[in-house]
Parts: sequence; C-alpha cells; structure tokens
Amino acid sequence: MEKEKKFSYSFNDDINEIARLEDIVHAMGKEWAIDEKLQFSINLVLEELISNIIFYGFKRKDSNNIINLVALINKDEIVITLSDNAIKFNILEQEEKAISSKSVDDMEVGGLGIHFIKNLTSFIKYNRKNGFNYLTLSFILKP
Amino acid sequence: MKIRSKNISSFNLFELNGRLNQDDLIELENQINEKMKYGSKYFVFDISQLSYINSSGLRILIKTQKQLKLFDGYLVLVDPMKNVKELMKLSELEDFLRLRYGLKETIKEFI
Repeated sequence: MEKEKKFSYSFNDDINEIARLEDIVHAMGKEWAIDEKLQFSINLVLEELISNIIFYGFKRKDSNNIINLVALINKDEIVITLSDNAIKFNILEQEEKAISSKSVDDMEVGGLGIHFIKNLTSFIKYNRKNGFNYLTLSFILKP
Repeated sequence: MKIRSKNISSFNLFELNGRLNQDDLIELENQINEKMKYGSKYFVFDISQLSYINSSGLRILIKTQKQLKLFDGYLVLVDPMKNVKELMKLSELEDFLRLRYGLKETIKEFI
C-alpha cells in the first residue's frame, strides 16, 4: 500500500489542543519513518508556534478562530505549513535569543522559543494573505 | 505523577517524568516558589524520565536558577535524555543549568 504523502489537521483556539500534537507527530513519524530526533524537533517547533498563536494571536475568543496544519513529505524534506486567522505575526521579523552562560546575569528569558524554531528548521517562509498568516517550515530528512 | 519532590538533607529533590503540559508547568513553578519561600536554595532535578521540555519549561528552570543565585544557591539537572540534552545544548544552557550525570554522585555533593 502506498504511503500517505500528506497530513492535514485543524486546531481550535484552545491550549488543550496542544495535547493532540504529540499523537499527530507520532502518527506522521510512524507513517513516514521519521527518526525520533526529528520527531522531537517537529513536535517542539509546532508546539512553540501553535501555543504562541493561541496565547497571543487571537484578539478574542471566537468560534471562527482556526489554525490549520498541512504536512507534506518528499524525498529530501518534510514541509509543514501552518495557517491561522490570528493577528499578523511574522516570525522572521522576531529577534531570537540564544542564551549564553556568559551573559546569564543580563539574560532575558524571552525569545527562546523563536530561537528553537529558527534553529530546528532548515527553511522558513512567511506570507500574509486574506487575513491569514501562512508559515511554511522545512525539516531536512537525513539521507 | 509527573512531578514529585522531597526534602533530603540540605536540598530538594524533584523528579520530573514524561511530558509536562501547561498545567504541569504551573504546578512545577508553584512547588519551586513554595520551597524557595521557606528558604530552600539547593535543588536537584532528576530528569532521567523527562522525555520532553519546551521553552516554557526551560524558562522556569532559568528563572529559578537566577533567583537561587541571589541567595548563593543553585539547581542542578541530572541525567537528561538525549533529546532534552540536545535542546539544552542548542540553547547553550548546559553550564548555566548545571547538567550532571549520575544521581547518587550528584546527591553526595549536598550531603
């Protein structure tokens, strides 16, 4: 039987939705034979992004608030697109903070999630269209 | 139980298990704050069974380490799983969060 090449999911504006992510990434990992390390990275990146949208992206609770996830695989990479109708948020314009032990005393604890997202993905593209944020992320498959 | 803690000699031992969700992280922060309120300044976190941590979880550990430092205290993390360890390496937190290996050996430091 041919492998499924595409996974699609939707998340509501509810932080409890994050609990589903682990199962989703696990199912993807099983179907596409993704190693544990990459599953961990995908899970972390998606959790950071989706929780950020839920906590800060929606101006008010509304049944129309939606976050969509589409994942595709090709021979080299997994490409995941998140789309949401929250406020505009371009992660590429956000400052990341790698925390250095040398600067611990001055360290701010924000920006760590952004650092993970930018460093665990190989490519990020952002687009805003018709009131939706579209964020496309690529994760390279090991040869 | 994802979070267990007990007082041993001069330090607090926390055992973190599995995957901590948002509620677990709030619970963890509350437990840490409660112990700090009563003067605890040494914390050992056994994270050998912690399979996942996100930036919110790391933020709590960073914040705790910074607060403990003000009282000449500190926390140590013991026996991280591979993925958790790599995440700390990626965020350059290995030294700051005092990663150690071997719970028994680590505990000896405090007794």
